[in-house]
Amino acid sequence: MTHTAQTVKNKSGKVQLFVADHNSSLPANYMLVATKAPTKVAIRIAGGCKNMSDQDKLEMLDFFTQAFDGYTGVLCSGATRQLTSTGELDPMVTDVPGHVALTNPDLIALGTAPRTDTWSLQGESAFVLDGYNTRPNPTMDAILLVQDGPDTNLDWDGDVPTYLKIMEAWNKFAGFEHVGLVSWNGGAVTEAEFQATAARKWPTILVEGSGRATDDAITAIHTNQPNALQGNHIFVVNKNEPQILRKYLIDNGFITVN
Amino acid sequence: MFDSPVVPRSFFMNVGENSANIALSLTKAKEQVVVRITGGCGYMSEEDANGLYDLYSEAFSGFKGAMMFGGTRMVSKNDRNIVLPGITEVVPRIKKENPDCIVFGVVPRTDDVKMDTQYGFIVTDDNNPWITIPHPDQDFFVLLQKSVDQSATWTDEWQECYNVTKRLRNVCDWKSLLIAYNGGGITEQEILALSKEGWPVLLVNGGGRKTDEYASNEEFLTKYPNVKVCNKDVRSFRNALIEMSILPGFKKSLNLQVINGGKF
Repeated sequence: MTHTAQTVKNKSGKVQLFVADHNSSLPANYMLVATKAPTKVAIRIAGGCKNMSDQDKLEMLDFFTQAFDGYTGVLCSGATRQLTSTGELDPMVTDVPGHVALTNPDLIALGTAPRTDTWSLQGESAFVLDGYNTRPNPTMDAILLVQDGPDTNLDWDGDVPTYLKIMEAWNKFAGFEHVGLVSWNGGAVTEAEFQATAARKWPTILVEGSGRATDDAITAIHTNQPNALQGNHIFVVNKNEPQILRKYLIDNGFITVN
Repeated sequence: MFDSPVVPRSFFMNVGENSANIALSLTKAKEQVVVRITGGCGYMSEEDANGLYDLYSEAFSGFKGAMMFGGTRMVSKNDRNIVLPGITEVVPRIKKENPDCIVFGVVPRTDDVKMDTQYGFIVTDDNNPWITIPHPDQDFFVLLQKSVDQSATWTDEWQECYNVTKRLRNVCDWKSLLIAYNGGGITEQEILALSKEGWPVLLVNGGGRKTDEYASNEEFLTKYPNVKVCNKDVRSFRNALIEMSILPGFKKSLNLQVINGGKF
């Protein structure tokens, strides 16, 4: 079998797809997939890759692989995959869970994405999410696509309230002792995400040097601006120091070291 | 009346709804197995009841999975410390001796629910001199109704347990077991439904009524090899639980064989 950027690469050989309306009750089966993780912890990777070079993107994947070495919980992100014009992989933050799973196969990789356009089948029945050749990420164990009924498109933040509720339910009902977020780069949606997790007092980790909204928030902290995130649950780590993030994850119960 | 200082978390649900939170709550069990206890006791004596409680408690010693049951307790209208013996007392006793297991009650709202300063919720009070309340010694329960204006039935109770079991089996790869003891027509529905589904069923023989009828029905047992029978004694019951992989850690070390047509 020839492996391409569209080849499904996870333990089961298939990605489970779930579709939920953003106003409906939470999707039980999607949420239950998370309980198959050996360790009941969950981290969301939020952000983007704008202004990043190809080399920057590869270094991003390496940063997370080193930081999450030994992780066996749930690792979530957006659920999309971007392809280049020639069909090659254009790595994004949404590739982080699947990439980390390559060396930590027991973790559960989950994604969510809003329906921002009409879905279509193209070419050899490729499932395309929008007009930019965006695909469901084939490295996830399960993906939740969130829509506002069949006829209305959501914005790119359309899945955020749903995934926050899902993480809250894991924490409240399923015994996930620790849930948190790592922010890398990103724009306005990412800012809303780390503000939301910080407001919940969840561990909220900002990666310094990753760019844009994440770095802006770190600058606000360092310059004592009135709107700066603050509290013991806010943690800043430099993008060149994955071992510092790994230590934080161990110290805060996300990674268990025997 | 309250053995535990923590009162159970309560959910309210219409028949046909899906609850993520209920399914997630069951996954807090340390072992990925869900056991549904069904059947009845039909006005048994206190002595018989104690024998039944001991049977289940000893058979399930060491259990760390999830359990589903009717979720109610019947107490005297005059003295809430007087409890009517019944099969819904079995599961809370197992929980008491095996605190790692998770216990979930499914309570159909078959009448108007009332609030009482002494008892909290009263599920029914038309069964003189007894009233039915949600059992206080369970981790959580759901009060099930068809709608605000429509009560649920006892059939809805087992069907909700079936739905939860299906979800845990299909999505999370959990093991499951239906255990039937005694019981009438509703218990019969549940035995038949799960037998046809091919899921593990254990009939505890010797308690009477529908369960005993099927436990001695050779044609039925041959048709559904997923249905096993044990006797109403601890050794037979516990052996069946081990053989059916409901209790942890024993099956691989014992060279167990299916003998006597699947009867334990």
